[in-house]
Amino acid sequence: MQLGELEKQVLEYLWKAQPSDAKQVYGYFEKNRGGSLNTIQSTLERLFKKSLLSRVKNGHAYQYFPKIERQELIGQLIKNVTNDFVTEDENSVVAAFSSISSDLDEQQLDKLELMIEQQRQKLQKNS
Amino acid sequence: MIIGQWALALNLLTIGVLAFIVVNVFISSVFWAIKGKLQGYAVATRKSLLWLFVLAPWLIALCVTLFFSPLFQNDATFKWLQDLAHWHHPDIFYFMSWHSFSLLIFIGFSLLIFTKKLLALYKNHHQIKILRAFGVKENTHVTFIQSAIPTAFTGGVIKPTCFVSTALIEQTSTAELELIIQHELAHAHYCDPLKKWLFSFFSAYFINNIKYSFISMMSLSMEQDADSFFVKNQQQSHNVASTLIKFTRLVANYSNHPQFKSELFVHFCRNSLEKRVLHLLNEKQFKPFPKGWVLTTLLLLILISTTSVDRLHHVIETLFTH
Repeated sequence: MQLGELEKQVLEYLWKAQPSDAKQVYGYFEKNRGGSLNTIQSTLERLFKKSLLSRVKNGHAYQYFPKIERQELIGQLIKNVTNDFVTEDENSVVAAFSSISSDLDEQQLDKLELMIEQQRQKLQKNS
Repeated sequence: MIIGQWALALNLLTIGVLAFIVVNVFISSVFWAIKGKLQGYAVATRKSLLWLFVLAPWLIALCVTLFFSPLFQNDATFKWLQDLAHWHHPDIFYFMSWHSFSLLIFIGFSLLIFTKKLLALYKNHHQIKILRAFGVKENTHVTFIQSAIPTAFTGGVIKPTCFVSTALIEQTSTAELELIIQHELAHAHYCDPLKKWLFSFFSAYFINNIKYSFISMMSLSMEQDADSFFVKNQQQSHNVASTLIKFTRLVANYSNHPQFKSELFVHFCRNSLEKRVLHLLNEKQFKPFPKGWVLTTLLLLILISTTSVDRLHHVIETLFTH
């Protein structure tokens, strides 16, 4: 999924002031950013097509509201990007501090922790 | 059929492809035989060896192509090798021949891989761009993202950015967070996302088992390198190892949470956390770069692939005519 700068700004606005129609969104951006009502309408349409917004018809106009919360969208992006953590994924292009291993259980973690503690004590004794 | 300079160029490309295949088979066998021993080398050496493994088919294919080119064919130094390996009718190229088919298959396969890798890169680039836009820039290299997922990673091929989630900031101490950010900064310093992409491109020419072993080993080596990038003494090593375990527990608890279940990444390479912790605690001396072995193997591979190209040519043309 791609998201342009205006699309991001419109989403940010709708997360704060939902639901709004194109004129209300334009009213906000006219003061802060400029642009035309047409641009806002097409931006809302694009966001709707990307399944990021829902809409209901209210008279002649559509009322738009976010289909997905901010946290959820960021979570989705993190998930997409970090799916590459799977080192078997040949398309991996991110590097991570750590990920979890389904093979690693609590006991193994405890064992590793104990090993670190023993090394620490050994180091203290030596110094 | 074409005759002349173009035919010579296409024949040389065919020679390159054949040499590439021969070296690929040999490299795969050598790697499979010695992969267990690679852990005995320091991380930097291991990374260099892995790069050598994936680049060797290209480099040797280039050498073999140059050997068969007019540049070296009249060189008296290689007379003994020319008696062993030669290419018939280098200035004639038949389109309806196995030369042409092998060349077409290789070009098609390369285009497919390149397109796939480029698409994955493009998708990742956009997602990273959106994450940057939604995040709060802490400094040139670090961006905080508001999320309940405890995570830290480095993404972005051209300008790598370290992403740290607010959940991670809340659940770790200042010292632990600093270690995690330092680890990510090391990835950015080494340009690991770009290197990972390039490495995955070159390893895509190997069979799946070999390819996944290459990628898994390189990922582990990159993580181990980043783990020890800022480490100056044993105590700091212990701190990084403890932070790794704490972080793993955090992520494990998070992914067990019913609200987020199955939402997050699950697998890392098998036992990689254990290998990273043991590497941090390890004080043993690693083996030095095996210069002699590498040089001997490369020379042998050049010789084998040069003669194999000629033999393969003869075998195929004995069985089929052009």
